[in-house]
Amino acid sequence: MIAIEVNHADRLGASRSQGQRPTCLAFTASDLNAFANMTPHLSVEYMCHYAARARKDWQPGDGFTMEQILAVVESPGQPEERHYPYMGDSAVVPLQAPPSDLQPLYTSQPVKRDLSLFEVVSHIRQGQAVGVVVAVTRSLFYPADGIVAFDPYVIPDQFHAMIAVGIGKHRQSHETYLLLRNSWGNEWGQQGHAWLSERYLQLHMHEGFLV
Amino acid sequence: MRRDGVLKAVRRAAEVLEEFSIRARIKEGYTRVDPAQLACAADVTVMFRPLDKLLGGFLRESDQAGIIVNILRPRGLVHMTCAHELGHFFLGHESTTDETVNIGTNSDPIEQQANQFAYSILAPRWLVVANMNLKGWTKSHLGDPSIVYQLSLRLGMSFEAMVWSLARLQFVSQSSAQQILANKPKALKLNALKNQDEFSRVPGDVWVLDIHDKDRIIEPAPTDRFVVDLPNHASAGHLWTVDELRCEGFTLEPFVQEARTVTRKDRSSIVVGGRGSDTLRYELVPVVDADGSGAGEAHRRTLIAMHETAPWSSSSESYEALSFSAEVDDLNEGLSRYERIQRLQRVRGLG
Repeated sequence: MIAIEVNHADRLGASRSQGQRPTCLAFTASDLNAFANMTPHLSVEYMCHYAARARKDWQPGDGFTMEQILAVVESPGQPEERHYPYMGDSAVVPLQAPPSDLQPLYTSQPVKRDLSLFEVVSHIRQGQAVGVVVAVTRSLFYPADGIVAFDPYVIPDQFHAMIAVGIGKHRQSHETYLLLRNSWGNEWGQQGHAWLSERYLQLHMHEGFLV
Repeated sequence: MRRDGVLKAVRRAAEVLEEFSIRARIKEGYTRVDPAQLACAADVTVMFRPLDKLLGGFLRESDQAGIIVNILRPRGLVHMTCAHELGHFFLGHESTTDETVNIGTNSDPIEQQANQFAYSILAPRWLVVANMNLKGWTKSHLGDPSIVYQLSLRLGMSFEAMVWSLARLQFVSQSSAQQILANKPKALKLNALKNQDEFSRVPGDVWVLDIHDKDRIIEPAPTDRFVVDLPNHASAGHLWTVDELRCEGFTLEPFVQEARTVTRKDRSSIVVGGRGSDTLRYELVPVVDADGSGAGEAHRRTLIAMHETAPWSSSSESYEALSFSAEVDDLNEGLSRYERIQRLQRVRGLG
Protein backbone atom coordinates (compact mmCIF):
# COMPACT_ATOMS: atom_id res chain seq x y z
CA MET A 1 0.00 0.00 0.00
CA ILE A 2 2.94 2.32 0.74
CA ALA A 3 5.86 2.43 -1.71
CA ILE A 4 8.93 2.90 0.51
CA GLU A 5 11.35 5.62 -0.44
CA VAL A 6 13.68 5.54 2.58
CA ASN A 7 13.56 3.51 5.79
CA HIS A 8 16.11 3.72 8.62
CA ALA A 9 14.10 1.53 11.00
CA ASP A 10 16.67 -1.28 11.02
CA ARG A 11 19.38 1.04 12.29
CA LEU A 12 17.45 1.54 15.55
CA GLY A 13 16.99 -2.12 16.41
CA ALA A 14 13.70 -3.63 17.54
CA SER A 15 11.06 -1.21 18.80
CA ARG A 16 10.51 -1.29 22.53
CA SER A 17 7.59 -1.08 24.95
CA GLN A 18 7.18 1.65 27.52
CA GLY A 19 4.37 -0.26 29.27
CA GLN A 20 1.94 2.02 31.11
CA ARG A 21 4.46 4.65 32.14
CA PRO A 22 4.45 8.06 30.38
CA THR A 23 8.01 7.61 29.17
CA CYS A 24 7.52 7.97 25.41
CA LEU A 25 9.81 11.01 25.21
CA ALA A 26 12.57 9.20 27.12
CA PHE A 27 12.30 6.24 24.72
CA THR A 28 12.35 8.57 21.72
CA ALA A 29 15.33 10.64 22.87
CA SER A 30 17.14 7.54 24.05
CA ASP A 31 16.81 5.81 20.68
CA LEU A 32 17.85 9.00 18.88
CA ASN A 33 20.91 9.20 21.14
CA ALA A 34 21.72 5.56 20.34
CA PHE A 35 21.20 6.29 16.61
CA ALA A 36 23.60 9.25 16.79
CA ASN A 37 26.22 7.25 18.69
CA MET A 38 25.63 4.03 16.72
CA THR A 39 25.23 2.03 19.93
CA PRO A 40 22.78 -0.67 21.00
CA HIS A 41 19.74 0.49 22.99
CA LEU A 42 20.57 3.00 25.70
CA SER A 43 19.13 3.09 29.21
CA VAL A 44 15.75 4.81 29.36
CA GLU A 45 15.60 4.28 33.12
CA TYR A 46 18.85 6.16 33.62
CA MET A 47 17.50 9.04 31.54
CA CYS A 48 14.21 9.08 33.51
CA HIS A 49 16.07 9.44 36.80
CA TYR A 50 18.12 12.45 35.71
CA ALA A 51 15.14 14.02 33.91
CA ALA A 52 13.00 13.62 37.05
CA ARG A 53 15.73 15.20 39.15
CA ALA A 54 15.85 18.21 36.86
CA ARG A 55 12.36 19.35 37.79
CA LYS A 56 11.45 19.97 41.41
CA ASP A 57 7.73 19.41 40.92
CA TRP A 58 8.15 16.07 39.13
CA GLN A 59 5.91 13.42 40.68
CA PRO A 60 5.89 9.64 40.09
CA GLY A 61 3.60 9.00 37.14
CA ASP A 62 4.44 12.29 35.41
CA GLY A 63 5.83 12.49 31.89
CA PHE A 64 8.67 14.81 30.94
CA THR A 65 9.19 18.09 29.15
CA MET A 66 11.52 18.35 26.16
CA GLU A 67 13.85 20.51 28.27
CA GLN A 68 14.15 17.85 30.97
CA ILE A 69 14.94 15.06 28.52
CA LEU A 70 17.25 16.90 26.12
CA ALA A 71 19.33 18.19 29.04
CA VAL A 72 20.05 14.55 30.00
CA VAL A 73 21.06 13.72 26.41
CA GLU A 74 23.72 16.41 26.69
CA SER A 75 24.73 15.59 30.25
CA PRO A 76 25.19 13.13 31.87
CA GLY A 77 24.14 11.04 28.83
CA GLN A 78 23.21 7.37 29.10
CA PRO A 79 24.81 3.98 29.60
CA GLU A 80 23.73 1.00 27.53
CA GLU A 81 20.31 -0.44 28.33
CA ARG A 82 21.82 -3.75 29.49
CA HIS A 83 23.71 -1.95 32.26
CA TYR A 84 20.58 -0.33 33.73
CA PRO A 85 17.45 -1.92 32.21
CA TYR A 86 13.96 -0.45 32.10
CA MET A 87 12.05 -1.52 35.19
CA GLY A 88 8.51 -1.98 33.90
CA ASP A 89 5.43 -0.26 35.22
CA SER A 90 6.60 1.03 38.60
CA ALA A 91 6.10 4.80 38.53
CA VAL A 92 8.47 5.51 41.41
CA VAL A 93 11.57 3.99 39.80
CA PRO A 94 12.89 7.34 38.48
CA LEU A 95 13.27 8.48 42.09
CA GLN A 96 15.89 5.80 42.70
CA ALA A 97 19.46 6.79 41.90
CA PRO A 98 21.18 4.44 39.45
CA PRO A 99 24.62 3.04 40.31
CA SER A 100 27.27 5.73 39.97
CA ASP A 101 29.82 3.59 38.14
CA LEU A 102 27.95 2.92 34.89
CA GLN A 103 30.27 3.59 31.97
CA PRO A 104 30.57 4.64 29.27
CA LEU A 105 27.87 7.34 29.15
CA TYR A 106 26.84 8.29 25.62
CA THR A 107 25.94 11.92 24.98
CA SER A 108 24.81 13.90 21.96
CA GLN A 109 24.92 17.57 21.12
CA PRO A 110 23.97 19.95 19.82
CA VAL A 111 20.28 19.39 19.63
CA LYS A 112 17.95 20.94 17.05
CA ARG A 113 14.36 21.77 17.91
CA ASP A 114 11.27 23.26 16.34
CA LEU A 115 11.73 21.50 13.01
CA SER A 116 8.91 21.97 10.55
CA LEU A 117 7.40 18.96 8.81
CA PHE A 118 9.30 19.95 5.66
CA GLU A 119 12.57 19.89 7.65
CA VAL A 120 11.66 16.55 9.27
CA VAL A 121 11.16 15.01 5.83
CA SER A 122 14.35 16.56 4.56
CA HIS A 123 16.43 15.20 7.47
CA ILE A 124 15.02 11.71 7.00
CA ARG A 125 15.97 11.86 3.31
CA GLN A 126 19.47 12.83 4.46
CA GLY A 127 19.69 9.62 6.49
CA GLN A 128 18.67 10.83 9.91
CA ALA A 129 16.03 9.69 12.39
CA VAL A 130 13.93 12.57 13.72
CA GLY A 131 11.97 12.90 16.94
CA VAL A 132 8.39 14.16 16.69
CA VAL A 133 5.91 15.22 19.34
CA VAL A 134 2.31 14.78 18.21
CA ALA A 135 -1.11 15.45 19.70
CA VAL A 136 -2.86 12.16 20.45
CA THR A 137 -5.80 11.19 18.25
CA ARG A 138 -8.10 8.19 18.62
CA SER A 139 -6.90 6.76 15.33
CA LEU A 140 -3.40 6.43 16.78
CA PHE A 141 -4.73 3.54 18.86
CA TYR A 142 -6.08 1.66 15.86
CA PRO A 143 -3.49 1.40 13.08
CA ALA A 144 -4.85 -0.78 10.26
CA ASP A 145 -2.52 -2.53 7.81
CA GLY A 146 0.32 -0.50 9.27
CA ILE A 147 -1.38 2.87 8.61
CA VAL A 148 -2.79 5.35 11.13
CA ALA A 149 -5.85 6.97 9.52
CA PHE A 150 -6.22 10.73 9.27
CA ASP A 151 -8.27 11.96 12.24
CA PRO A 152 -9.09 15.65 12.66
CA TYR A 153 -9.94 15.24 16.36
CA VAL A 154 -7.48 15.17 19.25
CA ILE A 155 -7.79 13.96 22.81
CA PRO A 156 -7.24 17.32 24.58
CA ASP A 157 -3.88 17.97 26.25
CA GLN A 158 -2.37 14.61 25.34
CA PHE A 159 1.02 14.57 23.64
CA HIS A 160 3.09 11.62 22.49
CA ALA A 161 6.64 11.33 21.20
CA MET A 162 7.82 8.97 18.43
CA ILE A 163 10.66 8.73 15.90
CA ALA A 164 10.20 9.38 12.19
CA VAL A 165 12.40 6.83 10.42
CA GLY A 166 11.13 6.55 6.86
CA ILE A 167 9.30 8.10 3.93
CA GLY A 168 6.96 6.52 1.43
CA LYS A 169 4.19 7.24 -1.02
CA HIS A 170 0.68 5.82 -0.92
CA ARG A 171 0.21 3.77 -4.10
CA GLN A 172 -3.38 4.94 -4.63
CA SER A 173 -3.53 8.48 -3.26
CA HIS A 174 0.13 9.30 -4.01
CA GLU A 175 0.21 11.14 -0.72
CA THR A 176 3.52 11.22 1.16
CA TYR A 177 3.61 9.18 4.36
CA LEU A 178 6.17 9.07 7.17
CA LEU A 179 7.08 5.86 8.96
CA LEU A 180 6.92 6.34 12.73
CA ARG A 181 8.63 4.14 15.26
CA ASN A 182 6.56 3.92 18.43
CA SER A 183 7.36 2.70 21.94
CA TRP A 184 4.13 0.76 22.47
CA GLY A 185 5.65 -2.65 21.73
CA ASN A 186 5.79 -4.84 18.64
CA GLU A 187 2.04 -5.35 18.37
CA TRP A 188 1.38 -1.72 17.43
CA GLY A 189 1.18 -1.38 13.65
CA GLN A 190 3.82 -3.52 11.98
CA GLN A 191 6.54 -4.52 14.41
CA GLY A 192 5.95 -1.33 16.40
CA HIS A 193 5.98 0.97 13.35
CA ALA A 194 3.18 2.61 11.36
CA TRP A 195 2.73 5.07 8.50
CA LEU A 196 1.19 8.50 9.12
CA SER A 197 0.27 10.81 6.27
CA GLU A 198 1.81 14.25 5.82
CA ARG A 199 -1.71 15.64 6.17
CA TYR A 200 -2.00 13.98 9.59
CA LEU A 201 1.36 15.31 10.76
CA GLN A 202 0.72 18.77 9.32
CA LEU A 203 -2.27 19.00 11.63
CA HIS A 204 -1.02 17.16 14.71
CA MET A 205 2.78 17.48 14.85
CA HIS A 206 3.74 19.84 17.61
CA GLU A 207 7.47 19.75 17.22
CA GLY A 208 10.23 17.93 15.36
CA PHE A 209 13.67 17.57 16.93
CA LEU A 210 17.09 16.13 16.24
CA VAL A 211 19.58 14.57 18.61
CA MET B 1 -43.32 25.25 70.68
CA ARG B 2 -42.45 25.64 67.01
CA ARG B 3 -38.84 24.68 67.72
CA ASP B 4 -40.05 21.63 69.64
CA GLY B 5 -42.10 20.63 66.63
CA VAL B 6 -39.12 20.92 64.33
CA LEU B 7 -36.92 18.92 66.70
CA LYS B 8 -39.64 16.30 66.94
CA ALA B 9 -39.70 16.01 63.13
CA VAL B 10 -35.92 15.66 62.93
CA ARG B 11 -35.94 13.02 65.66
CA ARG B 12 -38.79 11.12 64.03
CA ALA B 13 -36.95 11.09 60.70
CA ALA B 14 -33.88 9.58 62.38
CA GLU B 15 -36.07 6.93 64.03
CA VAL B 16 -37.72 6.09 60.70
CA LEU B 17 -34.37 5.71 58.95
CA GLU B 18 -33.29 3.41 61.76
CA GLU B 19 -36.56 1.48 61.89
CA PHE B 20 -36.52 0.74 58.16
CA SER B 21 -32.81 -0.18 58.06
CA ILE B 22 -31.90 2.50 55.53
CA ARG B 23 -28.22 2.22 56.41
CA ALA B 24 -28.33 -1.34 55.09
CA ARG B 25 -29.52 -0.01 51.72
CA ILE B 26 -26.58 2.40 51.61
CA LYS B 27 -24.24 -0.40 52.66
CA GLU B 28 -25.58 -2.41 49.74
CA GLY B 29 -24.25 0.30 47.42
CA TYR B 30 -27.11 2.78 46.97
CA THR B 31 -26.33 6.43 47.50
CA ARG B 32 -29.71 7.82 48.51
CA VAL B 33 -32.86 7.25 50.51
CA ASP B 34 -35.78 6.45 48.23
CA PRO B 35 -38.92 7.89 49.88
CA ALA B 36 -41.21 5.80 47.63
CA GLN B 37 -39.52 2.63 48.85
CA LEU B 38 -39.78 3.83 52.44
CA ALA B 39 -43.49 4.55 51.98
CA CYS B 40 -44.08 1.07 50.59
CA ALA B 41 -42.23 -0.49 53.53
CA ALA B 42 -44.47 1.54 55.88
CA ASP B 43 -47.65 0.42 54.02
CA VAL B 44 -48.35 3.92 52.71
CA THR B 45 -49.57 3.79 49.12
CA VAL B 46 -47.78 6.22 46.79
CA MET B 47 -49.51 7.31 43.60
CA PHE B 48 -47.79 9.43 40.96
CA ARG B 49 -50.19 11.62 39.01
CA PRO B 50 -50.03 14.65 36.77
CA LEU B 51 -51.48 17.50 38.84
CA ASP B 52 -52.17 21.07 37.98
CA LYS B 53 -51.11 23.30 40.88
CA LEU B 54 -50.48 20.89 43.70
CA LEU B 55 -47.13 19.28 44.40
CA GLY B 56 -48.77 16.51 46.35
CA GLY B 57 -51.10 15.47 49.09
CA PHE B 58 -51.46 13.14 52.04
CA LEU B 59 -54.63 11.23 52.80
CA ARG B 60 -55.40 9.40 56.03
CA GLU B 61 -58.61 7.45 56.39
CA SER B 62 -59.15 5.10 59.34
CA ASP B 63 -56.13 2.78 59.20
CA GLN B 64 -55.25 3.50 55.56
CA ALA B 65 -52.75 6.14 54.40
CA GLY B 66 -51.86 7.29 50.93
CA ILE B 67 -49.70 9.84 49.18
CA ILE B 68 -50.22 11.50 45.84
CA VAL B 69 -47.28 13.18 44.12
CA ASN B 70 -47.32 15.45 41.07
CA ILE B 71 -45.19 13.61 38.51
CA LEU B 72 -44.96 16.65 36.24
CA ARG B 73 -42.37 18.25 38.52
CA PRO B 74 -38.59 17.72 38.30
CA ARG B 75 -37.27 14.49 39.78
CA GLY B 76 -35.65 16.09 42.85
CA LEU B 77 -38.90 17.84 43.70
CA VAL B 78 -40.89 14.62 43.23
CA HIS B 79 -38.62 12.88 45.75
CA MET B 80 -38.86 15.85 48.12
CA THR B 81 -42.67 15.97 47.84
CA CYS B 82 -42.90 12.26 48.53
CA ALA B 83 -40.65 12.64 51.59
CA HIS B 84 -42.71 15.63 52.76
CA GLU B 85 -46.01 13.74 52.50
CA LEU B 86 -44.38 10.82 54.27
CA GLY B 87 -43.54 13.32 57.02
CA HIS B 88 -47.26 14.02 57.48
CA PHE B 89 -47.80 10.28 57.88
CA PHE B 90 -45.00 9.56 60.33
CA LEU B 91 -45.71 12.70 62.37
CA GLY B 92 -49.36 11.72 62.81
CA HIS B 93 -50.78 14.64 60.81
CA GLU B 94 -54.21 14.75 59.25
CA SER B 95 -54.93 14.70 55.50
CA THR B 96 -53.49 17.71 53.68
CA THR B 97 -52.48 19.04 50.27
CA ASP B 98 -49.30 20.93 49.41
CA GLU B 99 -48.43 23.58 46.89
CA THR B 100 -44.90 24.06 48.22
CA VAL B 101 -42.38 21.99 50.13
CA ASN B 102 -39.68 24.62 50.51
CA ILE B 103 -38.23 25.28 53.93
CA GLY B 104 -39.12 28.78 55.05
CA THR B 105 -41.94 29.45 52.60
CA ASN B 106 -44.77 28.12 54.71
CA SER B 107 -45.36 29.39 58.21
CA ASP B 108 -47.82 26.64 59.15
CA PRO B 109 -46.07 24.64 61.91
CA ILE B 110 -47.47 21.38 60.52
CA GLU B 111 -45.94 22.10 57.11
CA GLN B 112 -42.66 23.21 58.68
CA GLN B 113 -42.51 19.93 60.55
CA ALA B 114 -43.12 17.96 57.35
CA ASN B 115 -40.44 19.99 55.56
CA GLN B 116 -37.91 19.32 58.29
CA PHE B 117 -38.82 15.65 58.21
CA ALA B 118 -38.32 15.53 54.42
CA TYR B 119 -34.90 17.18 54.56
CA SER B 120 -33.89 14.93 57.44
CA ILE B 121 -34.99 11.85 55.52
CA LEU B 122 -33.33 12.71 52.20
CA ALA B 123 -30.16 14.33 53.51
CA PRO B 124 -29.36 13.14 57.01
CA ARG B 125 -25.89 14.19 58.16
CA TRP B 126 -24.53 10.64 58.14
CA LEU B 127 -25.65 10.05 54.54
CA VAL B 128 -24.18 13.33 53.26
CA VAL B 129 -20.92 12.49 55.04
CA ALA B 130 -20.98 8.92 53.70
CA ASN B 131 -21.33 10.19 50.11
CA MET B 132 -18.62 12.79 50.65
CA ASN B 133 -16.26 10.20 52.11
CA LEU B 134 -16.86 7.82 49.22
CA LYS B 135 -16.00 10.55 46.73
CA GLY B 136 -13.08 11.88 48.76
CA TRP B 137 -14.77 15.27 49.19
CA THR B 138 -14.17 17.40 52.26
CA LYS B 139 -16.05 20.49 53.46
CA SER B 140 -13.72 22.68 51.43
CA HIS B 141 -14.88 20.91 48.23
CA LEU B 142 -18.45 22.03 48.93
CA GLY B 143 -17.64 25.55 47.76
CA ASP B 144 -17.44 24.08 44.24
CA PRO B 145 -20.93 24.19 42.68
CA SER B 146 -20.12 21.29 40.34
CA ILE B 147 -19.39 19.07 43.35
CA VAL B 148 -22.59 20.15 45.11
CA TYR B 149 -24.48 19.35 41.90
CA GLN B 150 -22.94 15.86 41.80
CA LEU B 151 -23.81 15.37 45.47
CA SER B 152 -27.42 16.36 44.72
CA LEU B 153 -27.66 13.63 42.06
CA ARG B 154 -26.38 11.02 44.46
CA LEU B 155 -28.91 12.06 47.13
CA GLY B 156 -31.75 12.38 44.62
CA MET B 157 -32.40 16.04 45.45
CA SER B 158 -32.64 19.19 43.40
CA PHE B 159 -29.50 21.34 43.27
CA GLU B 160 -31.23 24.03 45.29
CA ALA B 161 -32.50 21.62 47.98
CA MET B 162 -28.99 20.16 48.19
CA VAL B 163 -27.47 23.58 48.80
CA TRP B 164 -29.99 24.38 51.55
CA SER B 165 -29.43 20.93 53.06
CA LEU B 166 -25.72 21.67 53.30
CA ALA B 167 -26.47 25.05 54.86
CA ARG B 168 -28.92 23.43 57.26
CA LEU B 169 -26.23 20.94 58.30
CA GLN B 170 -23.79 23.87 58.62
CA PHE B 171 -21.46 22.33 56.03
CA VAL B 172 -21.62 25.64 54.13
CA SER B 173 -22.46 29.11 55.41
CA GLN B 174 -25.59 30.98 54.32
CA SER B 175 -23.50 33.35 52.21
CA SER B 176 -21.67 30.42 50.54
CA ALA B 177 -25.04 28.84 49.85
CA GLN B 178 -26.17 32.00 48.05
CA GLN B 179 -22.94 32.06 46.03
CA ILE B 180 -23.30 28.41 45.05
CA LEU B 181 -26.90 29.02 44.00
CA ALA B 182 -25.74 31.77 41.66
CA ASN B 183 -24.58 28.88 39.44
CA LYS B 184 -27.24 27.26 37.35
CA PRO B 185 -27.33 23.47 36.90
CA LYS B 186 -27.48 23.92 33.13
CA ALA B 187 -24.07 25.60 33.06
CA LEU B 188 -22.68 22.86 35.33
CA LYS B 189 -24.07 20.21 32.98
CA LEU B 190 -22.60 21.82 29.88
CA ASN B 191 -19.27 22.18 31.64
CA ALA B 192 -19.26 18.48 32.56
CA LEU B 193 -19.94 17.64 28.91
CA LYS B 194 -17.17 20.03 27.80
CA ASN B 195 -19.83 21.75 25.74
CA GLN B 196 -19.16 25.44 25.21
CA ASP B 197 -22.40 26.12 23.37
CA GLU B 198 -24.59 27.72 26.03
CA PHE B 199 -27.64 27.29 23.82
CA SER B 200 -27.34 23.49 23.76
CA ARG B 201 -30.18 21.59 25.36
CA VAL B 202 -29.32 18.99 27.99
CA PRO B 203 -32.65 17.49 29.05
CA GLY B 204 -31.43 15.18 31.82
CA ASP B 205 -28.77 15.46 34.46
CA VAL B 206 -25.08 14.76 33.84
CA TRP B 207 -23.34 12.38 36.21
CA VAL B 208 -19.60 12.75 36.60
CA LEU B 209 -18.30 9.39 37.74
CA ASP B 210 -14.82 8.23 38.64
CA ILE B 211 -12.99 5.43 40.42
CA HIS B 212 -14.56 6.50 43.70
CA ASP B 213 -17.92 5.29 42.38
CA LYS B 214 -16.63 1.73 42.21
CA ASP B 215 -19.31 -0.80 43.21
CA ARG B 216 -21.94 1.91 43.85
CA ILE B 217 -25.53 1.65 42.64
CA ILE B 218 -26.53 4.92 41.05
CA GLU B 219 -30.15 5.77 40.22
CA PRO B 220 -30.24 8.02 37.16
CA ALA B 221 -33.23 9.12 35.11
CA PRO B 222 -33.62 7.59 31.62
CA THR B 223 -32.56 10.88 30.02
CA ASP B 224 -29.43 11.36 32.16
CA ARG B 225 -25.96 11.34 30.65
CA PHE B 226 -22.73 10.02 32.10
CA VAL B 227 -19.12 11.11 31.92
CA VAL B 228 -16.35 9.16 33.58
CA ASP B 229 -12.99 10.58 34.69
CA LEU B 230 -10.51 7.72 34.49
CA PRO B 231 -6.81 7.26 35.22
CA ASN B 232 -4.97 8.31 32.12
CA HIS B 233 -2.29 6.38 30.27
CA ALA B 234 -3.35 7.46 26.76
CA SER B 235 0.12 8.52 25.68
CA ALA B 236 1.37 5.09 26.70
CA GLY B 237 -1.16 3.57 24.29
CA HIS B 238 -3.88 2.64 26.75
CA LEU B 239 -7.54 3.61 26.68
CA TRP B 240 -10.54 2.59 28.74
CA THR B 241 -13.31 0.61 27.08
CA VAL B 242 -16.46 -1.11 28.18
CA ASP B 243 -15.73 -4.64 29.37
CA GLU B 244 -17.94 -6.44 26.89
CA LEU B 245 -17.60 -9.77 28.65
CA ARG B 246 -19.25 -8.36 31.77
CA CYS B 247 -21.65 -5.80 30.36
CA GLU B 248 -23.10 -4.80 27.04
CA GLY B 249 -25.17 -1.98 25.66
CA PHE B 250 -22.77 0.89 26.33
CA THR B 251 -19.92 2.60 24.56
CA LEU B 252 -17.13 4.51 26.24
CA GLU B 253 -15.24 7.12 24.24
CA PRO B 254 -12.77 9.79 25.32
CA PHE B 255 -13.84 13.37 24.74
CA VAL B 256 -12.11 14.76 21.67
CA GLN B 257 -11.75 18.22 20.23
CA GLU B 258 -11.32 19.29 16.64
CA ALA B 259 -7.60 19.95 16.29
CA ARG B 260 -8.09 23.25 14.47
CA THR B 261 -9.98 24.68 17.45
CA VAL B 262 -7.28 23.81 20.00
CA THR B 263 -5.26 26.74 21.27
CA ARG B 264 -1.62 25.91 20.72
CA LYS B 265 0.23 25.53 24.00
CA ASP B 266 3.54 27.07 24.91
CA ARG B 267 5.96 24.22 24.18
CA SER B 268 7.83 24.56 27.49
CA SER B 269 4.62 23.86 29.39
CA ILE B 270 3.95 20.60 27.57
CA VAL B 271 4.58 17.51 29.65
CA VAL B 272 4.91 14.84 26.97
CA GLY B 273 3.15 11.73 28.27
CA GLY B 274 0.95 13.72 30.65
CA ARG B 275 0.89 14.03 34.41
CA GLY B 276 0.28 11.06 36.68
CA SER B 277 -2.44 12.85 38.63
CA ASP B 278 -4.42 13.74 35.49
CA THR B 279 -7.51 11.83 34.53
CA LEU B 280 -9.08 11.59 31.11
CA ARG B 281 -12.78 12.30 30.64
CA TYR B 282 -14.85 9.76 28.70
CA GLU B 283 -18.53 9.76 27.82
CA LEU B 284 -20.45 6.60 28.60
CA VAL B 285 -23.34 6.26 26.17
CA PRO B 286 -26.10 3.63 26.25
CA VAL B 287 -26.58 1.93 22.90
CA VAL B 288 -30.19 2.21 21.83
CA ASP B 289 -31.51 -0.89 20.06
CA ALA B 290 -33.55 -0.77 16.86
CA ASP B 291 -36.74 -1.20 18.89
CA GLY B 292 -35.88 1.88 20.93
CA SER B 293 -34.97 0.03 24.09
CA GLY B 294 -31.52 0.26 25.51
CA ALA B 295 -29.28 -0.87 28.30
CA GLY B 296 -30.96 1.59 30.62
CA GLU B 297 -34.24 -0.28 30.90
CA ALA B 298 -36.24 1.02 33.82
CA HIS B 299 -35.61 -0.48 37.24
CA ARG B 300 -33.45 -3.32 36.01
CA ARG B 301 -30.07 -3.12 37.63
CA THR B 302 -27.42 -2.85 34.96
CA LEU B 303 -23.80 -3.57 35.67
CA ILE B 304 -21.49 -1.13 33.93
CA ALA B 305 -17.97 -2.51 33.78
CA MET B 306 -15.00 -0.89 32.10
CA HIS B 307 -11.33 -1.58 31.94
CA GLU B 308 -8.13 -0.13 30.57
CA THR B 309 -6.64 -1.94 27.62
CA ALA B 310 -4.22 -1.50 24.75
CA PRO B 311 -6.74 -1.30 21.86
CA TRP B 312 -4.11 -2.08 19.23
CA SER B 313 -3.04 -5.29 20.93
CA SER B 314 -4.51 -8.72 20.26
CA SER B 315 -3.83 -9.60 23.88
CA SER B 316 -6.86 -9.45 26.14
CA GLU B 317 -4.73 -8.21 29.01
CA SER B 318 -6.43 -5.45 30.95
CA TYR B 319 -4.93 -3.15 33.52
CA GLU B 320 -7.17 -1.18 35.88
CA ALA B 321 -10.91 -1.86 36.03
CA LEU B 322 -13.98 -0.08 37.33
CA SER B 323 -17.54 -1.23 37.66
CA PHE B 324 -20.69 0.20 39.14
CA SER B 325 -24.40 -0.41 38.66
CA ALA B 326 -27.20 1.77 37.40
CA GLU B 327 -30.84 1.34 38.31
CA VAL B 328 -32.92 3.64 36.17
CA ASP B 329 -35.30 5.69 38.32
CA ASP B 330 -38.11 5.91 35.81
CA LEU B 331 -40.98 7.77 37.46
CA ASN B 332 -44.18 6.65 35.77
CA GLU B 333 -47.78 7.63 36.32
CA GLY B 334 -49.55 5.27 38.69
CA LEU B 335 -48.45 3.33 41.71
CA SER B 336 -44.81 3.44 42.74
CA ARG B 337 -42.81 0.53 41.41
CA TYR B 338 -42.32 -0.82 44.94
CA GLU B 339 -46.07 -0.85 45.44
CA ARG B 340 -46.58 -2.63 42.11
CA ILE B 341 -44.00 -5.27 42.96
CA GLN B 342 -45.46 -5.76 46.42
CA ARG B 343 -49.01 -6.13 45.08
CA LEU B 344 -47.84 -8.57 42.43
CA GLN B 345 -46.14 -10.65 45.07
CA ARG B 346 -49.28 -10.66 47.17
CA VAL B 347 -51.33 -11.86 44.19
CA ARG B 348 -48.84 -14.64 43.61
CA GLY B 349 -48.96 -15.52 47.28
CA LEU B 350 -45.36 -14.52 47.83
CA GLY B 351 -45.91 -11.42 49.92
